[in-house]
Amino acid sequence: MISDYYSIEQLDKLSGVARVRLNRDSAVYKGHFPDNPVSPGVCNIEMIREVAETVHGGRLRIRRIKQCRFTTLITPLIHRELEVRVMLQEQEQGHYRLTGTLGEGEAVYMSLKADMTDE
Amino acid sequence: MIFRNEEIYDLIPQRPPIVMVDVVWSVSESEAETGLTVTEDNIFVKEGTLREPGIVEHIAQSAAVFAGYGSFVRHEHPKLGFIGEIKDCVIHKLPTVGQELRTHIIFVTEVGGIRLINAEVRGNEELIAQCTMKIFLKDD
Repeated sequence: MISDYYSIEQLDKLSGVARVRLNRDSAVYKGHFPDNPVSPGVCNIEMIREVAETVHGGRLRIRRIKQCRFTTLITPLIHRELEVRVMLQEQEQGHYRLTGTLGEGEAVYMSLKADMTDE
Repeated sequence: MIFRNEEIYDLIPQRPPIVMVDVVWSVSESEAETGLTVTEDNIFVKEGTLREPGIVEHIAQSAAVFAGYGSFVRHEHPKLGFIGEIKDCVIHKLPTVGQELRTHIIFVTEVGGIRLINAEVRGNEELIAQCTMKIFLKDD
């Protein structure tokens, strides 16, 4: 699976806060969209998932996206770095409720509520 | 009217390597039926399975097919489309390489230029995922 469209620059496991850097040279942005690079919504979800997996210390599978809102288009030309915040609450053995956001400072560009399980 | 491979570029603005629909079985003002064969070189395949973002992107692009049909019948280029919201997206199974996905998009309503659609993805008749999505098109 492609993963070169971003890199995690900094991550604090305790607070669940990470800084990610977007790589504008990734092939993803060549196709989405030609001459108009926009981070695909699903790639934003994937950034949150990877931060959640690192915080959790193991692989997580998305079972249900309860709600995911995209309020600002993210483009690597403007948004070089973003802040990811995750909170993972265990509901029962191996089942987790994820709340995550992608943004900058106070501004939230995308929010995600999902149910996940250990993989 | 069936669209295959590059013919789909008349309906959606996405281009390789992130094209996640390889056949459009039918499309109209109210619904669309699309497909994707999961291949090893798909950018969302990991260890032989199509991962969650790949399934959701396939749904988003199937919705884009539906949204792009309006431009197509007017002989215009497809507009850029974006996901506004994903709701109640249940991923039952992760499809494996070689599997053919078949996806049904049903148009629910349009409010202020935002289209609400329901999607159902099946593979070998088995339910893979269900989803409600809001998408909006960017005007040129």
